Amino acid sequence: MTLSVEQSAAVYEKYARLLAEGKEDEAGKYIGEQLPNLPEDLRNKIIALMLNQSLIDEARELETIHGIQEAGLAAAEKLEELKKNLKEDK
Amino acid sequence: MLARRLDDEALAELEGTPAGGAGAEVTPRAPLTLDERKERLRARLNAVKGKMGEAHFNKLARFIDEAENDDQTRSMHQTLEFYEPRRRRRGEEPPPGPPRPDDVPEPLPPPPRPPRPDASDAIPPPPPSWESRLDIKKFKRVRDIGPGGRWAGGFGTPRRFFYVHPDAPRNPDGSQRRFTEEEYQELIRQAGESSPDEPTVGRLHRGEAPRDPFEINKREYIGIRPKSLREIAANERDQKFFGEFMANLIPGESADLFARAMQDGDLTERERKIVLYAQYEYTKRLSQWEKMSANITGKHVEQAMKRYPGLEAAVRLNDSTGNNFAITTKVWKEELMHIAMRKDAGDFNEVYESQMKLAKLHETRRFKNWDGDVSALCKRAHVDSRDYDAVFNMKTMRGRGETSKWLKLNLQKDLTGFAKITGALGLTRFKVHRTMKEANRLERKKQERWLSPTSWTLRDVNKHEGTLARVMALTIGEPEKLRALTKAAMRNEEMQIERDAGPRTRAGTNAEYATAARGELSQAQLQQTFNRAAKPAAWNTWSTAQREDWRDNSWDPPELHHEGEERRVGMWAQIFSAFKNWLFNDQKKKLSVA
Repeated sequence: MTLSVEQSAAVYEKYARLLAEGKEDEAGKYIGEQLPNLPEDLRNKIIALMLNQSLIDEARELETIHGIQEAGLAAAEKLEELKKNLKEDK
Repeated sequence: MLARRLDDEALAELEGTPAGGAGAEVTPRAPLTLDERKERLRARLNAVKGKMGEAHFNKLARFIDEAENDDQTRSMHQTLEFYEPRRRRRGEEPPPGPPRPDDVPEPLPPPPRPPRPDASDAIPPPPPSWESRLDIKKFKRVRDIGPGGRWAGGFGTPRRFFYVHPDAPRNPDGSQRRFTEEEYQELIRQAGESSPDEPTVGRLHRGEAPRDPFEINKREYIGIRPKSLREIAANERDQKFFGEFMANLIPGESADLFARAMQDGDLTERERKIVLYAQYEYTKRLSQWEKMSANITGKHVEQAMKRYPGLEAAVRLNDSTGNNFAITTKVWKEELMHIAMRKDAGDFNEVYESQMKLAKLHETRRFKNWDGDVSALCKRAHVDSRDYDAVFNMKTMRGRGETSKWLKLNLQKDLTGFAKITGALGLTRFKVHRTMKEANRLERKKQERWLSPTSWTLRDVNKHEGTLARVMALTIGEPEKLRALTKAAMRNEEMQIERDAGPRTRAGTNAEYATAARGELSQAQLQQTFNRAAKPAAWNTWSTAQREDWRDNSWDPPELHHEGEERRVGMWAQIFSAFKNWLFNDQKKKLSVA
């Protein structure tokens, strides 16, 4: 069942009220529950925003992992070099 | 704003017209099908393939394949943009312009590397991997003495230098590899460091910033206890100015930093360092501003007006001596705070030092004596001491003559009865003579002399008053300030200036949510807003169709756009914006235009 504009306005007001009270998790849950009933164009916009955010979060995580791996490789290379130097000294 | 731009472009594509409006002379493009959009997205994804892991690449490719509508393809474009700005920050060539969502150019092959000016063919171009690992601090600058020897080319020939690094691979003949100045600077830039030739102590000695601009030098913050972010968030003024300071400190990145800090506290070590530096610096500048603004009075405004007569036109719009220039003083204090929030605190420090020194100089015995003498002279001449500079022009012979004549007329005009007779017999002339003699003495005191400490004091007072007046005239005399002052005076309202106040603060966003929750976009309330809105001059002559067209396409009430809404951060806030825009665009079509 798709909500009318008036009903969507009521959803908007409740969503804003929850945000104003600082209940972001509850607001997110509420908008998630109402999402299938919202008009299609609005629904598409909200889904696109959510998708965008999740992709950015994931990309950021991957980049962090990539950075850690690079740092690890550099450390391993240094260790190898030190080992080699020690062997040469012996 | 981005969403609005994308909407315009999507609309323009659907209609086959350019997004710039009817007047824009751009060749119309045919609307793209979903498959064509996907193709472009794939090309763009391939261009940044090297920037992400394989799993992530596959996932994005799957999202593109499964995209069902334009919103999803637009969202993918925004996601891909995430990789490109970071690439620019790392020092690679920026793209020629902001990529349009559906107009993605094919990735160009990398430009050929220009030949090094003095690198011989025997030196093979080194791979970038080892170059980037070189420790910048180990580079050594060496003078390039050519085959002609040290003095080749004669006197005045510029010296040439190159750089060597002990860890760089050697040339085939065993000699050290030479780096040109350009290569060296490029490596420094890539490493994100300043030149090691510039020692930190030397830079500080010259009053410049230390090597790392966000390094906290404890000596600069003696006695400063930085405000915590919690304290800043609890105070509306602090929140506003701290946001402005952060925005100036790292332009374009502070919104992202705030968003991450607010959502999940996910900040890098360097970002934490930046925030701490901002806390220290903000607290320091705020305490300086508080100290300084306590000393600012209407007297400063009057002095500035004397030095810069053009300023008077702006000041007198709102203020007079009666209210002790209260409005201009308030505006000036607020402007000083904005100056203090700039990244470069040079102007603010100049004003602060002048103000502090001036306060001290005004307390000296010599200045007080001088001030007392001026007051006594003005009393003798029957004029207000604030008009001293206007009445006494003692620098030239002609000026002195005119001053004498004016004083005589001024003294005579109030005389009546017996006093008028004695005045005519010579008493007025005697009084003018005494006044002029005293004025001459004061004028001589003002002239700087080696052995006159009073003249030194007056010189310093003059200098610092001049600095304050100059900055005040420059700040208040800016066109947008003048416009705001005039508007406020004509409307008898508080002065309001729009400025970029940095990332959206939590309190501001919450206030907007609360307004929205009270039915801001309900049909009745929106109708009221529409009825109150300023309509075009020809509104009454327009047909209903014309009015509806204006309502649907032009009307965008500022009441619904809260300050800084385009800087909203976080996904929930963006969903709120999208919801609000959608609802407003739908609701306004039902409003009566009668």
